[in-house]
Amino acid sequence: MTPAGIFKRRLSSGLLAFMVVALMVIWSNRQLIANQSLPEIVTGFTPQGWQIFDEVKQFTPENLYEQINGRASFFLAYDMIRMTYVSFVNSDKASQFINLSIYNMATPTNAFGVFSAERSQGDSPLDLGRASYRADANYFVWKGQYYIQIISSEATDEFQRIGMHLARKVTDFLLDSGEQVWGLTALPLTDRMPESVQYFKVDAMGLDFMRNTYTATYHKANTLVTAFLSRQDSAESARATMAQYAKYAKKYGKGIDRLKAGRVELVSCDMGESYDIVYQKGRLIGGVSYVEDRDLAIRVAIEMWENLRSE
Amino acid sequence: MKNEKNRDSLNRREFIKLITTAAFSAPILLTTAHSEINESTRTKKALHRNEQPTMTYRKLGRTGFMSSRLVFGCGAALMGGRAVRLLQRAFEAGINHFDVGSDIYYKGSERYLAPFLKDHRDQVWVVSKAPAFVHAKSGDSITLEQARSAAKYWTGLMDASLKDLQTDYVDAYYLMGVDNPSLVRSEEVYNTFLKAKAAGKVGYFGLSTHKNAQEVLEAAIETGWYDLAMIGITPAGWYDWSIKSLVQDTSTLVELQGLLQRAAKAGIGLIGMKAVRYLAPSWSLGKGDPTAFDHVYNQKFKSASFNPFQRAYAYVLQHGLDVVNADMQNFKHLEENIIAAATAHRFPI
Repeated sequence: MTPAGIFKRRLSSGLLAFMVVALMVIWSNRQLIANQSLPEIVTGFTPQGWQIFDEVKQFTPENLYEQINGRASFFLAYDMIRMTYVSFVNSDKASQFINLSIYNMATPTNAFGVFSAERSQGDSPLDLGRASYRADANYFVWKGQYYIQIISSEATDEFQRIGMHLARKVTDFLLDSGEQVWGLTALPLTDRMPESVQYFKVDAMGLDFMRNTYTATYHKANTLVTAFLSRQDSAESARATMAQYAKYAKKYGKGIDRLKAGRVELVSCDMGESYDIVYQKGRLIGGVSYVEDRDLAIRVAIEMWENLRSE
Repeated sequence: MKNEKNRDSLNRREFIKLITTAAFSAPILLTTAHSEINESTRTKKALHRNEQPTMTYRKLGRTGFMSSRLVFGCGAALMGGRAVRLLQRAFEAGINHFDVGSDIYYKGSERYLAPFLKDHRDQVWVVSKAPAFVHAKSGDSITLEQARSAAKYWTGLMDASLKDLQTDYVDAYYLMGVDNPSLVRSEEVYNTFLKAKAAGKVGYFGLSTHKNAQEVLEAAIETGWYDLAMIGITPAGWYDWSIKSLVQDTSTLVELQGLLQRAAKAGIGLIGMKAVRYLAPSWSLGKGDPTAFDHVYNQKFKSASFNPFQRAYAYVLQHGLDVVNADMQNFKHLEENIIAAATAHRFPI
């Protein structure tokens, strides 16, 4: 064998070994989480000079209420499977605390749902996970199927520093499957306001028939317009949802009009002081809501329809 | 705005105008609802806002607030702005009491409520709440340092609530999710409230509790400081969320009337919460048994054309709770609860 051949063989053996080790690390990490040893890992994240109050706790859908009371229904609506919680207290001043909660939401879409529903525009974005922000010395991170919250008792620079350090450690440890969140790419990007996309698994816009719905804010003609998009199981199901929407608009609004613009069929819902425009495209239901200018609402709805892939 | 109109009420003329206008749109409930309103307005200090014939009202202890018997629980419902559309419908139906919670807990809810309040601040009661976080078990006595920290943390969250609600005044602010009677008795916390009140930030002091609730309510009565108490209670009595079951050997709501009457006598307005959670499916934190309270209902309640959730709400409203707070996330639930609250008085105990 030539020296080049030997080199190639060694290189490929090295690469293979590297990949095996990498896979083992990933597998090992997954096993750690799968074996519910996250409490042990989290214990190692205790900031210097701080200690764990009581113990690291884990909650399931059955007992999440014990920890977060009525807010638990919000997380359960997104199919949370486990929450790991720990409260760190300052060893010198026990009234100072930093609470860490890690929600395992089963899928990146669910984790994005709780993250996006809790996010407020205007908070300071961070470079952690898939998306994250800071409010005072509190940190909120979405990474893969995880939603991480860090709540501090004070908002001083010191708390910010410790909180950020903790957020980075936790985020670095947790894995991200890389699975994409459909709505983030399905909703057209043109004129979309940054970080405005939200995902509602149930009861979007207060409507019990609107499930798996994404909303986003668009800047159109100097007006902020809220658009929504929902993917149903089938075109038939989408048609039924569309009919329910029209029924809702008739009951709570002033009536509906059915419009046709080229290939696009729309339902215009007069909700009193604003309009909802709804369309169907295959198994998608979309539209705009709460728009005062009816012509603008129709125009934006048509634009969105045209920019959507038919599914 | 801190003027008196904001804090007190619609004047009598505005009130009559509202009632007259609404009468054309909802004649069915007018007669029964009117008799309830008339009875309540005999009290001198009753303060009226957005009263409609489609709802009934009850004076909340010493606050004088004539609160709709259905309170819109905004906390979870407004997270992410999900149920914002329900607010206007609730208002039109005569709901005048909106209960929300700190951003530290119900993220974003106060901010989503703010635009509605901008339009209706003078016509509704708005209450918010925040935890006074202490590391103590429910039976522990908290230390002075813990009480001071809790008070500081709580008032910091109150200031943040005002900012998020875009108002400089809330009608009441609660200690949220209290299970420790020594925290209820904390002078540090109470004095902090009094300072906030003197500064014009808040009108009345309250608490919410759903764990160790009986002891917490007893402590609140004993202090004489609390104007409002929101208690987690079911028709069958106290519910223990840690075991997701009724507290062992709990007294039923009927048997708890003495305690509730003492609270009322102490001037505390009683708000029920979690009254139906037990009936809900497990994904909604319940036990999934809609018949769980059937054994406590009399024949009249059993034969009412209510679903199990409506029946439970109507029952607690007829058994010592002035009003009931419901977490309503869609129009369907809102409409059901409006009917239960507006017609509960038809079922005498």
